[in-house]
Amino acid sequence: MATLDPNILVLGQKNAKHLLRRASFTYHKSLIDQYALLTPNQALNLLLTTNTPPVNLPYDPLPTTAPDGFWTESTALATSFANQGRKGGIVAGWWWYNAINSPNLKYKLSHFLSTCFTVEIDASSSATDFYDYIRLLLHYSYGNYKTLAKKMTLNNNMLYYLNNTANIRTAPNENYAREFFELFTIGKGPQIGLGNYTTYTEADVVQAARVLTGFRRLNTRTIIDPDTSLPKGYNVFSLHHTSSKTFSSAFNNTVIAAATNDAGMDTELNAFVNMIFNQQATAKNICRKMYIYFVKGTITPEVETDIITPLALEFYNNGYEIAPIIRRLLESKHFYDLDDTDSTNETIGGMIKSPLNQLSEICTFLKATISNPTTNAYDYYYKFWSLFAYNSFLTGSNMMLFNPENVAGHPAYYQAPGFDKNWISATNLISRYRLGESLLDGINRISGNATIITKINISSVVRDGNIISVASDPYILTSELCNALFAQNPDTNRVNYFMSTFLLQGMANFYWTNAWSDYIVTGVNSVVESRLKLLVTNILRAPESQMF
Amino acid sequence: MMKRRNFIQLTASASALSLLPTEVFALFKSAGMTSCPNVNAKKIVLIQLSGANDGLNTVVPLNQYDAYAALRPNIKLNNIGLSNAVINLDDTLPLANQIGLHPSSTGFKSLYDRGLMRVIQGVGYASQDKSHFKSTDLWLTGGDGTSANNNIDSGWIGRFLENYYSNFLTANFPLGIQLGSSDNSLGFHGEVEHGMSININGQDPAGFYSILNGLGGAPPTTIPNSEYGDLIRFIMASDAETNLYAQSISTAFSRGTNSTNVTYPSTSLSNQLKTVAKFISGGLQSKVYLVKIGGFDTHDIQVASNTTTHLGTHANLLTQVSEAINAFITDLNNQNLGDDVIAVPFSEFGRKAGENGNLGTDHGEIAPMFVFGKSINPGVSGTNINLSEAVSANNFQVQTVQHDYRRVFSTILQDWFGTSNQTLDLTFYNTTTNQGYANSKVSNMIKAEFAVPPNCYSNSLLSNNDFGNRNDIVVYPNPTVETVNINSINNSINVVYVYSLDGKLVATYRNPMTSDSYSIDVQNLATGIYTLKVETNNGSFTKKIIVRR
Repeated sequence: MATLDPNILVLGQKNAKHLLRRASFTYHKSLIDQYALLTPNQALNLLLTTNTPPVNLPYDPLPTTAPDGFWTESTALATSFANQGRKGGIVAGWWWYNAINSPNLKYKLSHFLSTCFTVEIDASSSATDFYDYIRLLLHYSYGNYKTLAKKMTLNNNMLYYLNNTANIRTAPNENYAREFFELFTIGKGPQIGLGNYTTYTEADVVQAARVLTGFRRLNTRTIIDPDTSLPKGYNVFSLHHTSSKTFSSAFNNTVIAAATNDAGMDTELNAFVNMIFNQQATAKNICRKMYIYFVKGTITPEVETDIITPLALEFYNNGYEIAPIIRRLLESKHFYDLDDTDSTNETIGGMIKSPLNQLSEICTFLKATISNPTTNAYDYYYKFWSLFAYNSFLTGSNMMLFNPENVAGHPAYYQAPGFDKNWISATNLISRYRLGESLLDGINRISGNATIITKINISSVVRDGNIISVASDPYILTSELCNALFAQNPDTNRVNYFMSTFLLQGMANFYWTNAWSDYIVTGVNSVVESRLKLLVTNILRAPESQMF
Repeated sequence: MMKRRNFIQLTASASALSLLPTEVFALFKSAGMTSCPNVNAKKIVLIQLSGANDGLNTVVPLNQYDAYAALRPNIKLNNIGLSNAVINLDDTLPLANQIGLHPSSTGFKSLYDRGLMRVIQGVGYASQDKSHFKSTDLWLTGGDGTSANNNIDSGWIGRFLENYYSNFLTANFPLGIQLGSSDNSLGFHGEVEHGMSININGQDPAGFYSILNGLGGAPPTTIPNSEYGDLIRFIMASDAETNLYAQSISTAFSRGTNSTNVTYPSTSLSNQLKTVAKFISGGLQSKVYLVKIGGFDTHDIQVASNTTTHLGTHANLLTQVSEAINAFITDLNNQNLGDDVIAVPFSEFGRKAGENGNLGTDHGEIAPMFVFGKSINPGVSGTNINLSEAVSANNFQVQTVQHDYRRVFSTILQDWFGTSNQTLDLTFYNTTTNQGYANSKVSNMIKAEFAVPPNCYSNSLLSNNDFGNRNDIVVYPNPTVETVNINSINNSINVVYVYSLDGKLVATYRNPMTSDSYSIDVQNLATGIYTLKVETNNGSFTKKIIVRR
């Protein structure tokens, strides 16, 4: 019987690792050791905090002769800047750098919200509008989902991406209305009749499109929402549909009175959004998405009854506040496999890592030397992020960050029955398996062999990074690396396999101990570096490394 | 109905029968014993137009031009006689069925005039679902909007492959290949089988194998019996099948050619089809190809302006599609491969007959389909759609389904591939009406000389030799009942491991002698598919075997 009842036991190493991997993009040994001593409740207290992001603004270091710099702060029209695609990628890089330096839930939640309210960088109105969209998600990460749904409707980027800025009363454009129901809020139920998806109908889409007429994107970004301090679109009553809107029995035949002026359009929009969020189905749909993102890619009937339903009820009753719900989920016995003794339904190790998780975990645990965007913008945004992480690794792994193929998002988050299994395919094997060695060499081994500036100096990290207790002991070294990088601790045979094949390469244990102590004394790493690289590369290629 | 999917660990297997079926048929034929056509080489190329192609501006019903213009005052294409007008498909068609093709479709017109294209009017399914994602899933799974046919979790292509080509499941080539998008298409998911297709989007087909070979590393020998363990097996299986298939793909690609008399434009779809042609030319025996092009969701700026409706997003897309397909079919015909290939574009639904306010169209319902190839009977199936259906009360939609899409595919699968009623019913079946599609095929779609007569229908094809990989081991007989002989040609066999479909080690056999041939007894194994891993002094080789009783 699955349960949301809280786990009140101290986490310990295994659960601490699990929680940190699922809740943040910061997977450090020091954090693991710290959290291992806490209960889930204490851990969530830490995770639900906000830090000052290390990098305040994205920066374009190109063109090198006269960089566009802090272009998002410019008063010039956002679209007047060249290379919008590159700039969009830079915004993603800015977000990621802050994510891997923020040991809290905010960034995971903002990414989760981007899978609910999806846009594509390449189909955005401008990189600056995309930057505003990301800031909107960050603003509401610990906030209210319903409020976010309202604010997102007026977000300049979303107004453009799903065409609502062109939705006018003389000929409504249904694109945003449809996706608002289907993807952002209540979701589809089974099709029970002609154009009837249980939770809403085709006729509702038509009515919704009318409610949404007349909201326009403002390309100058000069209208600021006082609630968020972010740019927003504006209302044009003359383009708005002025009859009342009648919805189907799926919404109890609700009639929404039409606005009579610009301000009234907000009242009408509120009534429309409230109508949708008054349905329990909306809370359930969002909770299911949260479950698939944070917990597991399958929702069994037991989980639907014992986890989703009560969670959705809480979410509904608390008015759609996100923080208490994610806390409930990540504190639950279910999340730590403590609600039953059935090992065939595990949460720990039960999901395949997304490429984003893979990149973040490796870089943070193994202390990759990532350039600081503030002091070394060219190295970070261009050489590392744009050329390698974003356009080579993430793209090659089929996860273009914030840039999925279409508005449904990355298949791993919605495509039944595989969900997270969709991260594994013939097309992305090369990227996935060559990430580790690329970072260890500081060279793009996925394609092109260019230097990526960032590197995991594995010898120094093992010696100085406090991640291994006794590095001179090859078995301890290997097993601690495996335990850290695998989802579950491997058995002795498996550790021996890695140790003998890659670290010792058939030699006796003392060979390593001697080599390591030579390194400590002389500081020359040539002997140990190659063997450590081989070991870590192969640990990262093992199937056990692909889950979390 | 949820069925647990079994993950295959894949190997190649050499058939003990060294005669190719073509040779077998030739023998029979010369003895006058049969005139059943050889269908082994036949392939279907599915072209997914993602986003919902606007069928009404692709195929304009000329007999209702005024109604068309009234529904689409700003995005209507010009009538015959004006500049940049629609293309008159065929003036021998009855007046009531005269068609104007989008002016960008010169490639289609050329194919039609050469007798290589048929138009199927009014294609869709009952109870239209206007969600891109759901409707795409329905098209790929053989479903429709009625509740009984709405949540099928396997793809029709997958069911077709796992049944009709059940004897090919152990081959070293993938039965299906995907290009154009990195998702693992639902279309290829079998009800039972996994790993019948491979997606090689973005890979360099020539170098794929050499890069990929062995990249995944050795898997653990003990896998926990848990969810985590299942995922480990899933990854191992994916790695193994990719490795296995990659070799046949790379080899075929390097051997294949494109006709020098054909110029493929440098567009995404064209490049995908050019690659497919090269695979086919190089002898790859994959049966179903799925390529993809997106961008059809033209809610706005479908046309460049209301005075230049022949230009813009939709025009560019149709140019890309018609030029790519024209190049592809011509290439195949030039290489004498055209008999064996049918190409079928499809899209998740059409678009509204009435335009919206943004020079675009919103989601619609029925749309025309096209089928291409030498085997296709050129012409038009069905009549022009009836635009008087599109009124305010129904949101300006044309809804009459003249041809359920499953009838179109079923016709190809049976009349051309020669699938039996039984296998056809496993591929497409309407659970709402409780009927298959064998009795509702689209008539006259396949040319008589290429059609398979009913007495030649079969549930599944005989297998033939795998695409040659002569350098490893031979395993026979396969399928087997109780003994498997393994010969590793000059390498001594040390150990043979036998794994079940889900990755469990079920048997280990150690060769007591130093020999390059070794026989193992499998009479205690249950019937099914197994993977043999044969360790020799010169490396390991994997093969798949079938145990049958």
